[in-house]
Amino acid sequence: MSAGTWRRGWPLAGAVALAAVVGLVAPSNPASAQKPELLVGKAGPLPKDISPGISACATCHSGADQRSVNLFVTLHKSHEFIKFDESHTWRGQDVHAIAHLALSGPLGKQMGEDLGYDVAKAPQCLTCHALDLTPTAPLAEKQFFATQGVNCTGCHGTKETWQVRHYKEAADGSGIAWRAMTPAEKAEAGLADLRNPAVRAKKCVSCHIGNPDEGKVVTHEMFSAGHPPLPPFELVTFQESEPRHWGYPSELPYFKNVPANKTWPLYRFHPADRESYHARQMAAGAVAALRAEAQKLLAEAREAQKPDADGMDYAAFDCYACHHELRSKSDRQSRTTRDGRGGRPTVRKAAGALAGVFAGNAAGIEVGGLKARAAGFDEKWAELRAAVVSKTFGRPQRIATAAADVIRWCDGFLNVLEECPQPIYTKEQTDRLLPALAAATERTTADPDGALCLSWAYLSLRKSARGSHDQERLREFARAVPPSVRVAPFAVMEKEKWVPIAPRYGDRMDWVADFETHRFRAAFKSAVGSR
Amino acid sequence: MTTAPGLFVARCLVRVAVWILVAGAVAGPAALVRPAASAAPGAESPLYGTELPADGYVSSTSCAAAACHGRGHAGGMRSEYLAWSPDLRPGKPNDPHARAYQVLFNSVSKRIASLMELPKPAHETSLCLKCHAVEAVQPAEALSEGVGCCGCHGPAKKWLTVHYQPAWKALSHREKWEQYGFLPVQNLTTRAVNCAGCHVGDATREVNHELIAAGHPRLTFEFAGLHVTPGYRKHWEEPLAPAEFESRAWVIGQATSLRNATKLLGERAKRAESDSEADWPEFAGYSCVSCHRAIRKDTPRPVPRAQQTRGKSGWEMLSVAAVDVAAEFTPRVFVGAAVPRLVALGELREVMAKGSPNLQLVRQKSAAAVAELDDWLTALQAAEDRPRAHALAPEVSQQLLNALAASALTPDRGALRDHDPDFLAAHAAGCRAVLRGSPDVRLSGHMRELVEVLPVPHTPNGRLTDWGSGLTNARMLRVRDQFRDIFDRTRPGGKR
Repeated sequence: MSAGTWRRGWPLAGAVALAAVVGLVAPSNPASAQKPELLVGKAGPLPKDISPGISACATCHSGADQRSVNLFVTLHKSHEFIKFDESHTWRGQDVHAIAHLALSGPLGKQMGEDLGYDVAKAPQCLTCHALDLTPTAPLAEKQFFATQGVNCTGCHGTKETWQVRHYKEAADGSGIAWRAMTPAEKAEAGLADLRNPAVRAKKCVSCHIGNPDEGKVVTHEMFSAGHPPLPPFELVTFQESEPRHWGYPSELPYFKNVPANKTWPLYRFHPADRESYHARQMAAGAVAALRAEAQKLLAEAREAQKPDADGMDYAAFDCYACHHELRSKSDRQSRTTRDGRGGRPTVRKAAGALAGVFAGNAAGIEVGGLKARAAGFDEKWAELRAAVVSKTFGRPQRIATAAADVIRWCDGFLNVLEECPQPIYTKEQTDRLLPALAAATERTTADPDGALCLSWAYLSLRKSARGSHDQERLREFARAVPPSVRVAPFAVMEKEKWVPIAPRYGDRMDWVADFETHRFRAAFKSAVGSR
Repeated sequence: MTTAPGLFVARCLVRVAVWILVAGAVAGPAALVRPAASAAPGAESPLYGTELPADGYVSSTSCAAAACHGRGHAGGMRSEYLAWSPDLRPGKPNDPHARAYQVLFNSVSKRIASLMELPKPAHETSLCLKCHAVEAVQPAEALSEGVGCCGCHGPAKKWLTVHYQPAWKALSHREKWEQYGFLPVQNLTTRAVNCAGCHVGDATREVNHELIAAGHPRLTFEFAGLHVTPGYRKHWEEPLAPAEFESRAWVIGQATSLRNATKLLGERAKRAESDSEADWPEFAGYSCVSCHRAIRKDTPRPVPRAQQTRGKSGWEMLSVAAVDVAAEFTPRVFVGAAVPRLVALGELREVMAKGSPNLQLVRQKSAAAVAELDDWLTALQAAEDRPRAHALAPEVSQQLLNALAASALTPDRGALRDHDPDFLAAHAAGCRAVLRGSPDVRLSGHMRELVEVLPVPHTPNGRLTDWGSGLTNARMLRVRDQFRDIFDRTRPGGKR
């Protein structure tokens, strides 16, 4: 049986398995079943060298007290290196685990009715809500592993090679050979270098903002059918909103004893007295988010230049440029700077707000050549903003050029964050970041997402710096803004019983709808105090 | 294989049946609208009084002699000038047209000018003066009168010394216009078309989205409702009985707003075709709330709209939402007028459902749609100029109310056909007009409630810019129940 044959045969089996798993009684549609677009379930062969399931992971990563990991705990001290209950945390508390299940919930059903396709099977949904086993294939030919949502292998790597190798003991009794390998060697074997802030950030934003090259795009049609609005991306806050199944280096005993010259080359961090772990993560998150926004604009602009195209998709623009209530006295008209004519959809300003702070900060950082790489941000970002409002929905060609330019800038910045072995965000730099973040809130008008993103960044950095600031006032401010991405915590019961998704993001949306620039600035100032 | 043709035919039949069902479900009352059989082109003389002459505009003081229109008894005969002129006492009724120029000096106008980076202040900018004054008035100082007499009655230079002579009365409306440039605004169609020039826009006047974004209130033109704007001091009396006036004004208003909006759309398309700097699509031509809806926990979902693509905005929702009802009722309200043909309009609406509508298509389709709408208005204008031989049939008001409620609801009356506030306001405004004309004791309470639930154009406090904020699912359900109740109570044999 050739690979082609089983691929053709697979989808139907997959669909049946899916229906069994999620309890769907969907009438089978022979036309769509013939398209090799969905690979789900357990039976049958998987693409060679791919192992997308988590049963193997869960064997060990379900707690350090299990008999199965006894040897790793006693001999290799693995529990000092990782938390060891990762699968348990993921399964019980992490919303990534219901990424696909959510598609067959009430909202998924409603969206499916509106959109006219089954969202639990549509490749444009599965790219983010499941595992894409064929990342380079065009959307129509993709194969997915869906039943476990976004599981371990979704972020860490679906290749079987590393999954088998990463715990193998050397025959000569010298321990686990994997541990001595560099991140590059591990990546070669299929384990994503997620400890690297830039790699991690790019991975997260590919879904949490989008990545058209990977078929991950939330279109305006999907939003209007009910897809929840995507929050602005700030990596540290997103991590803190997670039930973290991983520890920060400061939390894990193993990393206390790593020689300083090995911390970055092997584990992608610097001791806290040399570099702020969170600042580097935040920088990577901010720039990766901007890159992803620019990438969306670039793809849309290219699409819009094709004959018979129906313009750029609305989802490429700032949601709240349009989606605000009309008020007689609107602070939108109090803005002092404009990029061009008013009344046109703008670029998602939040994307540049945080990246801009890090770009400005980098002007004083010579390490790794960051200063040179970060130069020119203001002009490039201004040109992208101007291109987007140069006409209603922008001029596609100008947008494409400007977006490509911003992407190049981001790549240069991210490259330093990814490669530079020296500490970048020293205590001195981090101390400069906080006032810069505060100053940025003064420059953003009628931009709830930007305000939220900057607030999240400020609060996260403050928290990790734990300076002498008035903690009570900060807590008060944290009450004035939605403190995290998700308000209500995820519970295991959600897997058994559908819990409406709206309460999880509804408060944030109400906050956005009621947002007024002057009130926000006053609250921020009162919390941060005079600078 | 022998069954294949049979199957094919059966499939076609099923498809046709499905289409009929879909068309019925989607178009609602539109399905009742048939092209007018007797609307032969040229059957009526063309629409007149649409393009105002370039000059001949005189100051309103020319009209204000005590023996003419300037008697000192506002509201009384020959006191039109006084009724129109600004009353400086706060809270007194007045005519806002007399203050149209002054508002160009207020803080909102100043901010608009600064945000738009206008080279001159608003009161010296043609864009603003076109509607906030009679721009061509002589002497130029008379600009400060705002929208004075000539703004609505036509340039008076030619007819000023003629219109009080006995021979004037012998002239027909058309003759007064064609020979003297006098606008016979007693004809409701002529009146409406001229109101719409500013209140909707035309080839040379418009409020675009840039202006609105800078702070200009949106335009909401509903002709019948404008006559009863709270605090508005009318300087004339309507000769028609209220029931007749309201239903006529409502139908004429529907046709007129859409005609001017469509004409403006065509102009914008033409401009965008020749000038790559021009805005396209022009957002001011869409329902504001189709985009300007906050995404709250309890924001009602948009519902699938007739002839509209999901996630795309509603073109001229306030004008098109109930136009099919107005078309259907044309022969019943205007004896002798036929149901207008609105085929090109339907095609235009389809083109406008795109995210970036094709310019050439829009220009072509809008020209054809304007021609259709002009035909409709021509018939309405001619009917208005004919001496009235019949009074409005008493059951028409009730039928109109019923048709409006039906059009707001899905065919099974289970839900609203659309949650767009403009869609709902268009229907609510129609109901309000009918009820003003034929006060129905059983329904007036419901209408009051409907008005409370739903902002319609020209609400008593005039909060035009707060339009559509605070929409909730609970409110939508109440609106649905109101329309359902109106529908049930106006049905023949319906509940009492």
